[in-house]
Amino acid sequence: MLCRPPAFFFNLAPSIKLAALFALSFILFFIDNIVILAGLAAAPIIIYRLAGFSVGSLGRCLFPAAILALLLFLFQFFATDFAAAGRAALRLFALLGFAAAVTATTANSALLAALERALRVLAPFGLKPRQTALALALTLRFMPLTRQIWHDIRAAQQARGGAQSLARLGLLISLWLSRLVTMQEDIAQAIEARGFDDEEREDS
Amino acid sequence: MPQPEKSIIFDKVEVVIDGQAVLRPLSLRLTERRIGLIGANGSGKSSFIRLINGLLPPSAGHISVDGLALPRDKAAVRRKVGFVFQNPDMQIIQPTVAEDIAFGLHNLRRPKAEIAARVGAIMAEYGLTPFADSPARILSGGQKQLLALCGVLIMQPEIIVLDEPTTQLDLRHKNRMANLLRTLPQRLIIVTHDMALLAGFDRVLVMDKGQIIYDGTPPQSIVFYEELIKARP
Repeated sequence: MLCRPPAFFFNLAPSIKLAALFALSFILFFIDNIVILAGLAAAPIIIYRLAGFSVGSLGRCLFPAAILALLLFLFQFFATDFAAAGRAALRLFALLGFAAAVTATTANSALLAALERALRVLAPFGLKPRQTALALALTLRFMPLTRQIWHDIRAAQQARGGAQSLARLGLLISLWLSRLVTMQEDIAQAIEARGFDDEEREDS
Repeated sequence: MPQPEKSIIFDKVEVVIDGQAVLRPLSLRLTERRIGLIGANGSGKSSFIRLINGLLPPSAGHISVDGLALPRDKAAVRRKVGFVFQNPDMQIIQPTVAEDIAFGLHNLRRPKAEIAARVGAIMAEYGLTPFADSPARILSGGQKQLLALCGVLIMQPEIIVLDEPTTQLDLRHKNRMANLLRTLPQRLIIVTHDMALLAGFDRVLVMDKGQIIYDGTPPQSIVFYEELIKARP
């Protein structure tokens, strides 16, 4: 973990953190007062600072959120005006700042278990909470691997020389997709071998 | 009540995929503690071991594991038979080391305290504690294979099936894995191209073109297999 937010954040139940984040994401869009938005955007910074963390570690935690907020501000500034751009950027920064605190202070399994419980209310509408939670875990786990596969294929192409072209990019994409399909079959077997479908059978 | 015999029985088992016979009709009884399976690529080894825990259904015939019939008792067989895949990257499902080891226990809905205790104990035993909260992607190949094995061992299976467990490992990790496998109390069925791994095994089967063409002790089977390969162009 790159940074360590205050202890009370660790101790809060993941379901409370998720519910608060969910509520905040709604509330933010109803707040137009730039002072209140600035206060909410500053809240994650204040939380980290009050806990005595260095500016460096604070920067590492919130840097990605700051960059995204800045990009949004610039886009909005040219598209609309300064106040609208400021509001949009502050909303995004506040949301990402709190989200960073939630993910940094909660184990993935606890977060996914809380999400699974929350999604159970949608089960009567056909949503399968356990599968959805597993899908999210798999996304977190395999996203870096899919990126690695992309880089490996591209490196293999480059090693064989030749100029960049649209055909080469098309080949890269098709090879990448074919590797992903094979990978998906292997992962499905691994999940099955570790008893996931057995649990589903017991559920049904 | 008499205990069922500890054996894996294949009775006229056949696998046909897309009209091609991947496994020709086969009847076999496996009772030994250490069984190896060798053969050229595409000889049907992976299909054979996938039949043992129901990952691959047979096209014909019957399979039973310690008295449990497949596919009827698939869930019970899965609890009895752990499976370690060739590529650990595909077997590690959860983002972090501790979470991945716990995955199978979560599926069994074991209490949280028990899961934490068992995961902690197995990580300590196999030296993975320092990586407990680390993303699995940062582990070395050897550590990933160890993690995949721990994910199976924590389920306390009676039988472990391993598909080429040392293929992707360097020499140091290969030796470490071989030593570790020797100490496991479980019954093992291992597919391998690493003949040294079969030292001390009770029985080694040689597969070719979807059939078991030799069945003997490790030295006999290895000599047979080497002669077979030499005779091929």
